[in-house]
Amino acid sequence: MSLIELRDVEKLWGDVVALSPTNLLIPEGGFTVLLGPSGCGKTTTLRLIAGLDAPSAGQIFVAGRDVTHEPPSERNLAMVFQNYALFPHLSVADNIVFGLQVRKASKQEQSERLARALTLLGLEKLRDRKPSQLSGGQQQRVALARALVAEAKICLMDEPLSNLDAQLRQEMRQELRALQQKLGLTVVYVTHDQAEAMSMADRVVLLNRGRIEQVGSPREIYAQPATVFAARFIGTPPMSVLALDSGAIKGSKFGVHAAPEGATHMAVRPEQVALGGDIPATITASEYLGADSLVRCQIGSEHVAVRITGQQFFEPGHNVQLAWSQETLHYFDSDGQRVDQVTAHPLNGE
Amino acid sequence: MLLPALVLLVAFTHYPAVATIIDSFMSTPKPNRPSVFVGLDNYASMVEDPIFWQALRNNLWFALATIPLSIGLALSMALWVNGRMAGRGFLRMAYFTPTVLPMIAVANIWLFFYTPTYGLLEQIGGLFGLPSQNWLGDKATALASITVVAVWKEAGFFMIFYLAALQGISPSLREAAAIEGAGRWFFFRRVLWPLLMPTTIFVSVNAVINAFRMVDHVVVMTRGGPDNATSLLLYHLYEVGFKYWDQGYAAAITVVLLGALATVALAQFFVLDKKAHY
Repeated sequence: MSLIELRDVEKLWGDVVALSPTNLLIPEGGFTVLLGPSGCGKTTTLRLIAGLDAPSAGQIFVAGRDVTHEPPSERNLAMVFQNYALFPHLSVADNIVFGLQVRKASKQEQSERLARALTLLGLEKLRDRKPSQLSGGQQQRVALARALVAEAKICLMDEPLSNLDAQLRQEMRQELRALQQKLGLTVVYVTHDQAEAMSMADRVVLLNRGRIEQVGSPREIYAQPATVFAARFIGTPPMSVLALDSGAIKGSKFGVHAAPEGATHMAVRPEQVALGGDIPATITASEYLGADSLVRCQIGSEHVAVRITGQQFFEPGHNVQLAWSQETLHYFDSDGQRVDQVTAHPLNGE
Repeated sequence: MLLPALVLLVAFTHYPAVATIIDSFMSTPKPNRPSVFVGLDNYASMVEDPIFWQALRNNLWFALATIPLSIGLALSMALWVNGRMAGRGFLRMAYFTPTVLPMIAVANIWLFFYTPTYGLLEQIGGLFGLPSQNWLGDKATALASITVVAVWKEAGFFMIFYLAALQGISPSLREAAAIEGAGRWFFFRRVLWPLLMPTTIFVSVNAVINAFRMVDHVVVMTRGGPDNATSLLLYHLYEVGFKYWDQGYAAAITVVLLGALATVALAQFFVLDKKAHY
């Protein structure tokens, strides 16, 4: 069952379209990541769900109830902000029980829930500190505790890990995921970091320029990018996208015979290109990454990235032969939409 | 390197202050009688001076009214113009205008408002058939009238400080509170007011000092009258010092005034500071 539903939701800021009319279903108990580059509308979407901004058109449902015109507090959700939004003059404990005090929970209930939240996030020793006396990671935990103490079913997170250092971010990723599963939360998580999205999400909603490009599990999005944008965005490094010209890679004589009807671009992952085949290419740049190297090659006027082992080394200008297998290629039409390969069914063939 | 600053400070701040304290224990010099040490005589005559007590009483009422009123008004205006709305810039400017105007000009404007028979208040009152009222000429309303002028003048200035402080508060705090369901009043009481405390301390110290320092509008509007009903301490001091030329007595009043101000300001800093979050 879907817990949150956006129906033709649109958001305009004056003439600027922040979110084109969008339909989205967010399932209950799942970890949904809104992923995209800055300005793609992911934070806008989250704020619309939270009720911090009102949509210009469309309806928003939470648990089957139309909440489009309800204030944030009536939507039964919690939120973690990018800058944590802790109240600087209140202690950790007071920050966490702020919402309970608003709702006039009894003193006993407050202290019970506070104790549970502090234990859950390992903050017992910090309960009387002020936010300014905490490290970034600790502030992050307090913000989480404040969101969780309300025991709302839905938790919205707006780039919660972006202010942490790389090491801590890695740890918090696992912890957040574990917490979500332990509590059976429905998490909607905004990030521009695809590593976060890939490692935590049940479902990724990929956004670009106020539009949803693709919705799917991390594996689906990685394996079957629905658009050129998805192909260019997902993966480090992402797929190489090569323009096609009358059945060949543009500017070259190398034909792509199996290209489906209407395909104007093909894409291939760097790890699925191998050396030693029949596709002539020239190396233009080489990037050493330790375990492997990333080599950029030119075929005709197009570029393709190749991942090779770290031991191998090539000078720019070197000519190589590349190989890829037909099944690893992806094709896109002139609108940037995926065109599936017509698989030759052995049963139908001669 | 310190010398220029030191010379200026000593010449214009420290020496006059010390000289005033010394003068307050001396008699006033006359052409045929030089100043002599008189001990606490000047202070004794202050205690016996009914106008001094009247001025002190007036000043306390004046302070008691202007300080909370101007701070309260400043805070409400700041909260109001901090919101998103059309014509916000114009409103902010309008509220700040009284601060830019010289006090003498302000006093003249208000003098016109208060003037009997053809003043603005009189004309508006006349439309509703209210009886004529000599606001500044009546002992019952004169002090209140000059208090209103002072509040009007000060609130805009204090508003700027509150506005600056409000702009420094992250909007995500309001959003976080909104998600928790905190209403305006709860958010103000639990979040905004404590975060504005440093500003409130600063503003209130200023308000106290101004309450004992503002005298220009008294000079223009009432000259302390009628029957000393609007005579504030500083105005009384001015009259004693520069109308009656009683230098020793004026110095004694100055010392008392400064002492009282310093005590109040320090008390404010130490007491309120404990409650403030910086």
